Amino acid sequence: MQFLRKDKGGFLGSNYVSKGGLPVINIPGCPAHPDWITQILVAISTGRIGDVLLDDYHRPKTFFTDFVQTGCTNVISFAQKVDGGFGKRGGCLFYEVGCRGPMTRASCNRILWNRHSSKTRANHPCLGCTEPGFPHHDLAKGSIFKTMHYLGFLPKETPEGTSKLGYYLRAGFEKVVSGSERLVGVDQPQFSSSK
Amino acid sequence: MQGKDPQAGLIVTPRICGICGGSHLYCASSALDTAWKTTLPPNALLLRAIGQATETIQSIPRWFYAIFATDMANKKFANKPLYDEVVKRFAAYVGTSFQQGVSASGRPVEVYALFGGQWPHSSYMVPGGVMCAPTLKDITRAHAIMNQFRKDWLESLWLGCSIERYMQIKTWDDLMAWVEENDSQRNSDLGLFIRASLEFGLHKFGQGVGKFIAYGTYLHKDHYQKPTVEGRNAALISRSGFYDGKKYHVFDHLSIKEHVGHAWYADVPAAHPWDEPMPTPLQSHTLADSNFNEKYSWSKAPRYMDMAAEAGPLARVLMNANPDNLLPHQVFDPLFGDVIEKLGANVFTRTLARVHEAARLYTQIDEWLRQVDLNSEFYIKPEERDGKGFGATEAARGALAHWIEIENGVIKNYQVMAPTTWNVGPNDDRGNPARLKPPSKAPKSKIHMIPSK
Repeated sequence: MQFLRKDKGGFLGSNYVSKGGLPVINIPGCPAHPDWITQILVAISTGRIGDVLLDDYHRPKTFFTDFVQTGCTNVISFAQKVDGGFGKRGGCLFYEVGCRGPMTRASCNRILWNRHSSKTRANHPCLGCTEPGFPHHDLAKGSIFKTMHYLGFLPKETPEGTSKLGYYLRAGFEKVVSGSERLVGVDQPQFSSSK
Repeated sequence: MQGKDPQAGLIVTPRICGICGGSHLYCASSALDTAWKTTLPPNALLLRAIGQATETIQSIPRWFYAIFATDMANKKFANKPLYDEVVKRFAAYVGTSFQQGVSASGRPVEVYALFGGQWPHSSYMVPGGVMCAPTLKDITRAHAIMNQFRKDWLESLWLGCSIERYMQIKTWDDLMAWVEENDSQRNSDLGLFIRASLEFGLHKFGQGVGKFIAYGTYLHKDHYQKPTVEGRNAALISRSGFYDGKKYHVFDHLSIKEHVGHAWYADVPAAHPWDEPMPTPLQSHTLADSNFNEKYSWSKAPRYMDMAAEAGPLARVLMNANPDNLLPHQVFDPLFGDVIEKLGANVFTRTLARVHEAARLYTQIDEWLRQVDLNSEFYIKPEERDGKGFGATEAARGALAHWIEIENGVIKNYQVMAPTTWNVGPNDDRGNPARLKPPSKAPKSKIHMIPSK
């Protein structure tokens, strides 16, 4: 209504303010979680609109500050660079199958879906549907369920809040150290998974 | 999706529909399986079938209470003896069964979310299998959730008896005897629906075209590990077919053509979806300004062997009543062969067909959950290649199919045919109507005729 992808404007125009003095509140997602919608309505109806802070895309910060990765059950594997994949238990989906959890602001792993689950908890890479670019890369060849790489191994897109170089250095360090530990037989119970 | 990654359909097509995204995913993954010649582990076929079945069983109470039964509380029926009871239970929002039924409908898709991450709009079915690798707690929790659904709604409020008792019904007379067997069944929501429908006359209108199409669904875990278009019919648990009003025909997707003579696309000859060119949209008109001898709809008109056909639950249960071409793993349920002979197709039998599926779906989901082997694989990485694919299923509302052609590693053609186009699409190029006919003259309202679900 008030944005076209990342750019302000849209059907109502960039300066639109409602009679109640509010801009459009964007609750993104495909679909948006029903709790995100109803809880904002509850906030408005209980006189808490002043507590609803909006980000640059007018998303309520209470739901769209943390990343999908917050609360992801594979976050240790992300930190220590252990790959996951389809049909496998454990491992992080960021490295091979294009998970956008570290770049996508949404509370999918804090407010669960259908009361039980989330994409990443079911080994499904985050598609980034709460971010303006969705569907990302315009669904171009090679962009779906595959992490796009530089030089065949460096992820093209790195987690929010990191510089590319800084990320590559830290990730390379972590990968080499934890790989060496595995090689010399250090027990790594944090990566064990069980049916 | 022309020019996009071959897997684009896995992300885009579930989002075509807010209520049957899992069905689109079932088709999209199957279309890629046949195009890429994948191998599917039994676990993947089970978890896809569970996804499809939980979505369909979800739709039964949700559709019945939120969409259908509220109309039975319409004042037009106020002179009928059962009207007060119908209003008490089925009136929108305030009916005693409305809230319970709609709430119960949320349970089965919790099971979908355990394996797909969320419902709606997961993409967990991928060529070669499924993304998830469930653990013991996922399976046990799924059993517990379904059991809750059975206790909160299916047996208590809906049937008034056990699933086993209900599934003994084989004929229309059996069904009538079941209604009158005891107060619990007579006064269950299903018992009330049957009695009120006959009293209100819902069996007297809504005849349709008298021909039926079902693509069937639930590919058996042991019979579709090498997915092919040709091997699909024999691998189905819920069967496919075309019923011309007198006899059954084996379903062949090559007998389907789409017509655009009355749709807002540039005219091209009727063609099979693999052979259809990219459509050229034309200027649309409001309904009031539409000439029904020309173009008046965004929907194309699908035909089977040049005939219109009804898609949906009634078509589905009819195919399962076919005594011929029956394989040991397939459903045989004679009830609706008898019902259609005695009552024909109408609003009542169509709705009865839909709600009839609840008991069987419950038992199937339970059985499939038991068959998942936690020690075995869920996904076999396929090799990408060019080619043509076909994937189909039964969405809650009926026959749904996707056709894909991949060339040079990208999508060249992608066609989706939804059940609603079978049922309410426009006339075909020879002027023959679908299940619902266009109005003989334009109404005054300023709305478009668009396919909707």
